[in-house]
Amino acid sequence: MKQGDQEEAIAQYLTQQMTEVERSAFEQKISESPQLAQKIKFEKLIAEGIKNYKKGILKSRLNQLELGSSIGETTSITTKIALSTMTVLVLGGLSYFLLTPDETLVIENQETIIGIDVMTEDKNANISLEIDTTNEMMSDKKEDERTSSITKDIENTRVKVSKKQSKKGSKSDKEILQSEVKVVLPYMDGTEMSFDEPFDSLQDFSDDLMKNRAQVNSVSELEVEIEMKKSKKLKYIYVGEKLILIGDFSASPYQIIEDNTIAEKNLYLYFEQEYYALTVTSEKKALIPVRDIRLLDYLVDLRNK
Amino acid sequence: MHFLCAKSVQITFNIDLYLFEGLPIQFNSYLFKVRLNNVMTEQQILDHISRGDETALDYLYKKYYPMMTKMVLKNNGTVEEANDVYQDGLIVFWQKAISGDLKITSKISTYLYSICKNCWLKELNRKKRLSYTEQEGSIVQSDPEDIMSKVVKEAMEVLGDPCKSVLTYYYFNEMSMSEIADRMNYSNADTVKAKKYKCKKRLDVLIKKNYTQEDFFN
Repeated sequence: MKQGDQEEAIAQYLTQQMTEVERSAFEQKISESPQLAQKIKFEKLIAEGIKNYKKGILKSRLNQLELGSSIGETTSITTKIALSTMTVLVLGGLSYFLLTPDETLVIENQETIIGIDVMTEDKNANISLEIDTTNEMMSDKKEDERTSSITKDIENTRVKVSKKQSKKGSKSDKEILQSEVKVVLPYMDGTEMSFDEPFDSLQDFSDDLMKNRAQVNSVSELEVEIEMKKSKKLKYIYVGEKLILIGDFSASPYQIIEDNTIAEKNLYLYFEQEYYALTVTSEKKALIPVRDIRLLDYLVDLRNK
Repeated sequence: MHFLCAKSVQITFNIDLYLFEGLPIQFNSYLFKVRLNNVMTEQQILDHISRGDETALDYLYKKYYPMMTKMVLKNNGTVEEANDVYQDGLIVFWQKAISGDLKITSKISTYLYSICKNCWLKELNRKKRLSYTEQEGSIVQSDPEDIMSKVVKEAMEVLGDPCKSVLTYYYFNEMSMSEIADRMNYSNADTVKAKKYKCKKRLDVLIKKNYTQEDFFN
């Protein structure tokens, strides 16, 4: 074999360009000639050297690539769409939470305006509310129950109804508390209004208010009943004008707060530092503490009045 | 010339959020830039590689960089080691793909991941051996392949083109003479064969100028 042919054969052998037959024949030659084996070993090193040279060029090419934008490029279109959707949803959620309290604020402001109007009217009206709280279950003398009567001038349409403090005796399982709300409406002949014309609308509003108050008066006889249970879960039933509180109400006093506006009447329970909203329900319903900060502030104000 | 990711669409969204009148605008002029690049199918990538288009290498490198380097970083590797292993693995993949040795039955990412994983295991073994020999106090001898690589690099720089290209096409890309002829606009395979022979002879001369065969094996 000529020198050139041998080198070409070695190159073909090293670059996998021989057929199976050529390869096995060449390997036979290598095994017979240590010199050829040594030469192939050396040529293999040179071939590896050339490969490594090219690898080095490719590596330096890759090192020069800017990978800053690669993160964006690695994400598929689907991922991008998903990310965009999530962004829109997050923004939507944010704007919802920002909008919702403000809307509530607007409604409350309307109420405040109404309250102010009513207060103006009440200067003439001088309405008083008499609240009597009586305990009908006084037969057991071991029970140490204190009831309080509150007479309070109404400053606006919101009516605070009853206050009860109880220390439960061991035998009493059931208590009935009755609260009567009496709204004494003053006589209004309109003569005190020296300027009827500009206050026509106010007068109309006042009439509506009176009607509304009459309604409040007619529906506000709330009967509170307590079903004592050792269970820590507090439940209630509120149907008609009867409120049944179920659970262990023996430890602390409770308060029922009625918030009567022209539009609606809301009932709340204050018990052990928590406020609970009471909605009409004929089924037993768990008492869930109010967590809305705005409503809580409002209820604290209302209770402190 | 083939361009990868040549077209890119840039979409800019300007989103102004006005909560409602009278309130201060809290979110204003949020700027979202979404850049959509041409996404290549796996077959398109392989086609580009087979044509020797190195921009396909760039594309692959960027595409799978986080995935592959994460594997090394999660297995006690440094950033430099992660880069090295990924580059080595990608070049192994490139070389297999360009020489037609690649019989790929899975996704490119899966195949590339297994190559990189092997590269990292080899590197870990090498490090382990190295620390063992250091503990034993034995002298670490230079690897003949490392010495040769250095020598060949110097010689190739002296050779310059077209020898550099012919030799790398032949030994690294494992292209046939006719393929090199097509790529380098030579008239036929025989011309390339003669050219390659001459270039290899020149390279041997440059190597043997300073080193003999025995220097590498004794």
